[in-house]
Amino acid sequence: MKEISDTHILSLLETEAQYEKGFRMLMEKYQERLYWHVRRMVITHEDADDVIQNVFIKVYKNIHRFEAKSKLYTWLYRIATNETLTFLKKRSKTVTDSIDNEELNMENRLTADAYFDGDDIQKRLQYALNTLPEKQRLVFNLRYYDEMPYNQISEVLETSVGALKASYHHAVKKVESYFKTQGIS
Amino acid sequence: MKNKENSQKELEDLSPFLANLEKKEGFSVPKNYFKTLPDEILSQVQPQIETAPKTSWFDNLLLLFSPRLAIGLATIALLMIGTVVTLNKEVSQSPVAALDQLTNEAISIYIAANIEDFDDETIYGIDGLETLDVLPDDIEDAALDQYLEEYIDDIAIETLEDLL
Repeated sequence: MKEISDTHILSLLETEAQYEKGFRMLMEKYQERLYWHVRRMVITHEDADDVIQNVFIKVYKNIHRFEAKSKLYTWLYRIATNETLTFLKKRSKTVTDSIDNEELNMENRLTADAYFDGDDIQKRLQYALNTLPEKQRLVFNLRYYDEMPYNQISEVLETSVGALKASYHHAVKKVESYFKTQGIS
Repeated sequence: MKNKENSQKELEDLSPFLANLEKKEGFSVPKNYFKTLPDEILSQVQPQIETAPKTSWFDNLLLLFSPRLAIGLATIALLMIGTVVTLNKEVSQSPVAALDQLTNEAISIYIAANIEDFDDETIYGIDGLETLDVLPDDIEDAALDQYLEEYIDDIAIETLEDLL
């Protein structure tokens, strides 16, 4: 199936009559990528659904503000990232700050989520990633799962390529170290 | 493709363990989630057209007894009644209109009862009336008999009975 071009999507979004059609095309092209980007950070489907809806509502209302200075997906990823970080900040205020509790909360979230059916290794990977600072986790997810080039990550997170490389390398080492402490390597 | 190769090579250099780990996350979504997500978003951002709520005949009937409506209707009714009464009063106060409603019998009775109030000039001034021959009060019997003989056919039976 031929991928829809951003140029075509943006041209449809310029006219009121074609706005809905253009928006549906935009969602068709980007909704899964953005959803998983969010989901990997918030973990449960319920939370990811809330966040992604906020993301696309913002996109719908603000697409006229998109300037062609950056690529469309970069703009979309940035909105998704900001919404995710806002959500996590809000959620962290409702739980105790203790690291142990956060791990317990993570385990509870995975167990409670009806849409997680990973095996033990996948569960442990999520626990390991949960120990990373949020922005470092973002870098890891974009590079490891999305295999996004550093220059694109740089546009999304507005951080230099060098800093991103350092952050990713450090994250990989931490995750590997976590598995070693669990007796898995 | 090149991106994938680069990232894989990088990971192998950093951590062979993670490079060999299957990139499965264990996350899933509800069935048809991505098919319905656009409709869900659009339903939230597009204005809803409100349809007028359907009301039953009973609700409409109750509406007639609502205080506000009752007060409004009562006010209108009072205004209408007041207008009608006022107009009727105006009509009844008009002498011409009042006279038009009088019957000939009523007029005759009134005149007979108040004949002293009418002078000759008033009676003779009425349009259409011919000059009447008025018999003086002190008319003699002979003259009266002659008068009667001349006008016997014109005089009504009732008048004759009164005279006799």
